[in-house]
Amino acid sequence: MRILVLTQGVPDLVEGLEVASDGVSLDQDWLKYVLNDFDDHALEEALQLKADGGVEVVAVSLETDGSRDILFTCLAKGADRAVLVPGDWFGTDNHQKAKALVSLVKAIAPDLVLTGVQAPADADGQVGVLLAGNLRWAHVTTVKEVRLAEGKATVVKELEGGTGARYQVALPAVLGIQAARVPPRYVPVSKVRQAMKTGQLEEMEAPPEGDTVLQARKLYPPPSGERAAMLEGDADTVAGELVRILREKGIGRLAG
Amino acid sequence: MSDEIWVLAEFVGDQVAQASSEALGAAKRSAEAGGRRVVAVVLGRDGGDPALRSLGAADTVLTVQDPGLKDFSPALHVRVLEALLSDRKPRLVLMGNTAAGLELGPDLSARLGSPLIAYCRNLEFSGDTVVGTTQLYGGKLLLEVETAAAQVLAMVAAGSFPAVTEERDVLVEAIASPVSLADPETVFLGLEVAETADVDITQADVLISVGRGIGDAGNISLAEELAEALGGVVSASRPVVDQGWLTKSRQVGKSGKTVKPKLYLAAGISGAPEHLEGMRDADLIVAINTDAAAPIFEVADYGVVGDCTEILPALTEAVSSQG
Amino acid sequence: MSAVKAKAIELESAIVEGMDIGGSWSRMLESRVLESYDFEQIDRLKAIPGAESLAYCFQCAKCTGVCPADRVGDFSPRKIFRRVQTGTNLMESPDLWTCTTCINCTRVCPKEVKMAEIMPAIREEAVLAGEAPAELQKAFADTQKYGNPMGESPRKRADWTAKAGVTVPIISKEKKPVDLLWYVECHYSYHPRGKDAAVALARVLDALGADFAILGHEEKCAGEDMRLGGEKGLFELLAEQNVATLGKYQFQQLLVTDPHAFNAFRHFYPAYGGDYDVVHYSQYLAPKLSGISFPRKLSRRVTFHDPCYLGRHNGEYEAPRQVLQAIPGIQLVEMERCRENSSCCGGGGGGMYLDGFLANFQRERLSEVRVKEAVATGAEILVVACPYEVSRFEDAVKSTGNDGKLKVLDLSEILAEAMGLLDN
Repeated sequence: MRILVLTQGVPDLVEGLEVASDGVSLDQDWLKYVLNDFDDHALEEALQLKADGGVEVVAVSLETDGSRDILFTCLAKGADRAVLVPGDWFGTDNHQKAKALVSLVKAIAPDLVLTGVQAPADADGQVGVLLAGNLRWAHVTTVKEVRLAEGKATVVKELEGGTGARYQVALPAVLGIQAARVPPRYVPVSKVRQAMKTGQLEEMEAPPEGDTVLQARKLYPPPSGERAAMLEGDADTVAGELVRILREKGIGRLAG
Repeated sequence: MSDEIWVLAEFVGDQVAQASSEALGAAKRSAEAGGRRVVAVVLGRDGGDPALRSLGAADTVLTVQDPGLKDFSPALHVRVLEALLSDRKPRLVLMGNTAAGLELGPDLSARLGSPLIAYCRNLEFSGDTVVGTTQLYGGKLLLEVETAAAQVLAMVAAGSFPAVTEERDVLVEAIASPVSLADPETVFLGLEVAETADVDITQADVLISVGRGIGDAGNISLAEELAEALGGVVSASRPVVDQGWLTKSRQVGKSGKTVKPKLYLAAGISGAPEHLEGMRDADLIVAINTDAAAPIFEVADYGVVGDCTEILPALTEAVSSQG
Repeated sequence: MSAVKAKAIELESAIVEGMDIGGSWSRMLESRVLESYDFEQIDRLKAIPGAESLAYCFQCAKCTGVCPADRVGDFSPRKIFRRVQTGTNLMESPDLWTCTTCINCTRVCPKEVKMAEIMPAIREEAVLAGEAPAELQKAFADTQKYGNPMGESPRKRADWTAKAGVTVPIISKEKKPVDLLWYVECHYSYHPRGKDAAVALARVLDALGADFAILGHEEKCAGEDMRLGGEKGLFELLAEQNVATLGKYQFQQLLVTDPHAFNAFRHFYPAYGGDYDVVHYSQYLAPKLSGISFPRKLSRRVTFHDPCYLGRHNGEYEAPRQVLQAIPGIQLVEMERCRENSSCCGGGGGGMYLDGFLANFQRERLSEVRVKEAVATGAEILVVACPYEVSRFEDAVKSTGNDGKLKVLDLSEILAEAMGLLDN
């Protein structure tokens, strides 16, 4: 059983995001790319399946700043292979990515593709289900648990309100992972560095395909018309002010 | 070009789901502006099903009667909708940005070559062009996009359009499935029995809700102390639950609980759209976050830019000293 | 805490180095049962490079008397050795994360059992096995991602300078050598109370006419807690990056505010090519204050907490006291345990990121113990010289019910106050 984990480097939201002078894209000067949090869960779920037995994990990443680090981290965490898809993927949309990945996925020939349920900038849809659509493969997304048995996957899909729905999924399939069954593992830097010394990154070409389907007109921060009234001062001042407000509104024990 | 705007309707029990009512709201707005018709599309319900009355906001209802579609199956629903959309070519297809919508939107878009606008916050026609606004980077930025494609799909983000509900006998077109439903690639097996919860956060008047900004599991006690002082309960955003710091039963948001307390105090929660979905209707929202640009401040009534591990203890003390 | 007790082997007689010690030969003793232990655990630990000295322990228990962790729980180097000897797997025991590497034990140990070497060595194995407490792993992950354990934005590292009210030059923009390159470190850069101290020190440096600059967003965590917490690879990565950054600039001295970073720069960075003239800010300030005319008298009774990594680890006890004594009006009173016997605040050796974990095993926090000692001196102000301590002790002042009785100030804050630099 082979599992392909599709990972993406995404802009780190800890940094303030600024709009570039073209008005439709992000200013890249300060952008730092990190592994998409949900992809980290997808990798973890794949590694859990590997621990269950009989699974080979192939991590794939579309090249961005930091994608080599991401792939070596995947290797250090326990992926068996790591594949870099070279190119400048900044500015390509998910439709283009998904189309480009079709031939690559067929070449790697996994039984299952796991990827994060979403990424921070899925303007035109989430890449996992788009990929499944292009491959005409089965898919389930918002998945929080995957089990494999007898050539099929049984998954728990998370519905609104957190209820789980169980599905049996014929393989090959693409699963969008909402959360792994355990929190993603921390991998010590020395293991990552070890992987950098001894591990191999394979490179497989998959140039973007097709035109951007949605034309960007304007990228902008949400209007801040109805923002919160901001309280200022040190912790004690703010606390005092809040207590006054809560009393006024009759909240909890401060009522009456 | 077709003048139909379709809404892929979901139900909770026998009532139209909130997400679908909002999608109907979006559809009606676009329809009224351009003289178009709104069709609510239902899979797996009989033409005489009284539940269809709750779709009265639509001009007509199209239902595919096969009982094999009643339980949501990504593969089967895509099969049927792909056939219907290719055949009838509606101009615009709206669905909620929901657990089901996330299966349908991207797959149909890839199969049909029709563009998809995800996390759609706004949508309108400008002549023959569809202009939509999508929400990116956890709500920190909005992107306005346009497309002149003959068919456009959109997944409507919760809370973006007014929900339109109307109960009436609506004209129903009931059809058999246009495609075979044999050998589905995804088979619905059943719902999971919910974990027994240690606490019901939906019943609490006061929620002290912690997010990633709380720093570490040890600091959750700071929220507990405040909750105790105020007579409330601690809840959390998804990252905190995913880390295993609090149980799933305390999670607020899209994949957790929707809450409507008298006070929702968000400590170290940046306010991703999925979280806002679960708490924006609280009576009073107070947010504490180190990032002055955090989206939580967009929905909060009162905001404090600061470290919640400093402010929570100060607040606990100030509350306690009120006697 | 599954301490599987080793089964003692009972022998009727034993011959050690040719001598029968069974006792039957002695008219003084009845024949007795001798015990022998399974050495598997201790053998495994002492084979880890750096951890050898754990096996030197001969159970004299001098350490137990001075170990701060034993005061709030059940832990001292002697106790760990004994537990390991009787079969405890330290890798799975909370004992592995209790030591703050304050080395008060090593000060009194006749056998030179070196906890500051043993702990990082053994912890490294646990970290590699993925067994470190989650809070600590999160600090590692954030430091790896952002260069600081709080997970704050690297680009905001120098944001505190906006409130300094004086020019705080960023060396990359200066394009000239400086006398002092100030290594601000994470807690001074990001923690609200740390930033207060950074602002105070910036004003003092400015008032003293020092030719200084900071690295700004190029600075990353020096990594000392990562090293002591067992994430050696992360420490190495940070050291290499910081040495490369520092190598771009010319400066006479590296002025360090955090004693932990100070220790790393003095003793561990040279191995990575970073050999600097390192000075703690108390050491820099002490000789500079004789010519200063203070605009005000601070008639305050103060006590000083010796940071473990300035005092015991680096032998500096005088400089901060000289700074305090230079301030007119200050009455310095010492705590019962001070200087070489100073009691740890609990923040070192990774302890900053283990408070939640350790709360399960300790009756109170080490910072609370220390604050009570400070209160007992009758001091109004507890002065500290380490960025971890202001917040730790302020929390402890509140949690021990001493709010209003004791103020906690960084050395730079009290000095800036006396120099009249905190008036706006």
